[in-house]
Amino acid sequence: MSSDVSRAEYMVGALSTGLRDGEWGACGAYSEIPMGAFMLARAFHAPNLWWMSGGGGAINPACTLVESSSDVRTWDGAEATFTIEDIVDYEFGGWQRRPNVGLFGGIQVDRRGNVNMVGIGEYPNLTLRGPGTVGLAFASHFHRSMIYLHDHNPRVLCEKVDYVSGPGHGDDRRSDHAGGPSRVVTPQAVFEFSGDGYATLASITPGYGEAEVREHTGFEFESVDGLGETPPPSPEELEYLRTVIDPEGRLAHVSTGDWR
Amino acid sequence: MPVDVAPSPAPTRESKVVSLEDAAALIGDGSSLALGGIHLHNGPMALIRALVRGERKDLTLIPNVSVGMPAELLIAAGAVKRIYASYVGLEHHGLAPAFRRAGQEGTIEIHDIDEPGSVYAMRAAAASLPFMPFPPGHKAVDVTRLNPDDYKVTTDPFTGEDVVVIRPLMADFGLIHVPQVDQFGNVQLEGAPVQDVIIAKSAKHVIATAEKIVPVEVTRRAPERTQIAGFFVDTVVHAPFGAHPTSSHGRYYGDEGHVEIYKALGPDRYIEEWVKACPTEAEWADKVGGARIVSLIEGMANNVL
Repeated sequence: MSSDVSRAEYMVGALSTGLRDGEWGACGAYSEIPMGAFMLARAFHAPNLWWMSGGGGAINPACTLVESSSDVRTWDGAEATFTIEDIVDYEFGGWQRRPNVGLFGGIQVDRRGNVNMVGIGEYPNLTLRGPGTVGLAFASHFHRSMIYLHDHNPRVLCEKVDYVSGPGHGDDRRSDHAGGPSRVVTPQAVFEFSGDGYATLASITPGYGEAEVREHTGFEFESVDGLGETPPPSPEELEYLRTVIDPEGRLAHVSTGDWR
Repeated sequence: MPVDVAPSPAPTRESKVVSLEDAAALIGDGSSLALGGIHLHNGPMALIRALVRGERKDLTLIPNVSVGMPAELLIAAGAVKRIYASYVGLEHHGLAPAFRRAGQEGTIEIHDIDEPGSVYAMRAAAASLPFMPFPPGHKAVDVTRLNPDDYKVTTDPFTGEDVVVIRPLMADFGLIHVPQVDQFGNVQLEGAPVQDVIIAKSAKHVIATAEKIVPVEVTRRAPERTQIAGFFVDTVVHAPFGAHPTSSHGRYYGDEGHVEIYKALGPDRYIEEWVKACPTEAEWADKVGGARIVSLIEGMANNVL
């Protein structure tokens, strides 16, 4: 079964298991993988999870996976809608109401879980002009977050981000209630953060080895004892993922870097 | 394009409806523009194309928190001097090439802001506030340091702690594209309002381009559906298919294939071969093609909305 599981499906599974019942969550744009994770978690282990689909304004969408989290299809069967102004109130103040979790990506992530979307190089003369900070600014206000990446290479997973868009661990400027990132999910591996807030290799996508992941990662890290493979979604979860959440098979086409 | 407007019950009341060309003519070189919609959705593209055809220069953009083609096209055309950028990109289609090039070559002035900063700057402008403060902890976000023109750190007078604040940003013009508006500017949306309401409340002059202009009697049947009161809308334009290639929520899907055409041609060739090659929106629709347009409308029509 697991041999035909796509890397995006592994990522959906790894993010889904990190979501907890009773939380509310939010994701950003280009979010098929986190959207799939929210939908899967609600169907299997977190029925009381609430989630906001990007900037499009739908809470608990009932649609199948779409490419853009702002697609109006997310409004089909949703339970509530919101504006961009609402997002600011929810994501700055919503942590006071119930535990929340943010799912987001970036162009650089470092071993402390800082995320950069501004760019790479000496500001303002950047050698790579990134799209901008956008909702990563809310990272310092979520109880915790999970980071997902479409690529796993030493440029993306780097020693220290050039600019902090979403603050990670070990930064005393962050909000008191913000727990920082709990997990980084890539096409090749899952990192979790140790008590002192450093990325630790937690599991590896089948097909990769520890040395290879180390070679593809731009920062030093320790591995958990008894390091193993990332488990695929269960057969029941996969069936649900493929028939209910993603009947059009979009996850198979999501960019996840080089695959062998 | 003829506009079918029924006689108003208040005959002395002035209609706000003008042609696309007349609306574009209001916007002079050097104007600042707030841009509605988000990503590949609800962009005021017909008006943007009119500005590109008219070779507008030195514009300042204050776009929505996650802008795609509306800002990208103006940058590609060399019409932009400055942008307040929370996010400029093409979402699942990747980085926005003209914005990236302009940022790396330093040909436009980029004021990096963040999502709450974009909203707060407009909220401050809308409510005539001197600035808006952020919650504790916001200094951890580097744009507050990288952009000292717009973010400042001051003292919270209640706690004595540091607090990050942002200045108001009031655009000369707010440009939004909506599915339905009446001749007096009352806007009824059929999908995500995203940032359009605060744009309408904060800009000095709001231009609403619309798929359909209805008589105010239609608005009156369901006033609770009016998300933007006509009081805040100064100019109304009938611009069917005017959001293309972005979607018009409730009317048609975004044209994903067209974004790939843009990426394949690159900014310069796209401006020449598409925008300038089509002097009017009718010619634009012809070039896009009827079959393509119908497929985008049918997709939305088959939606449960």
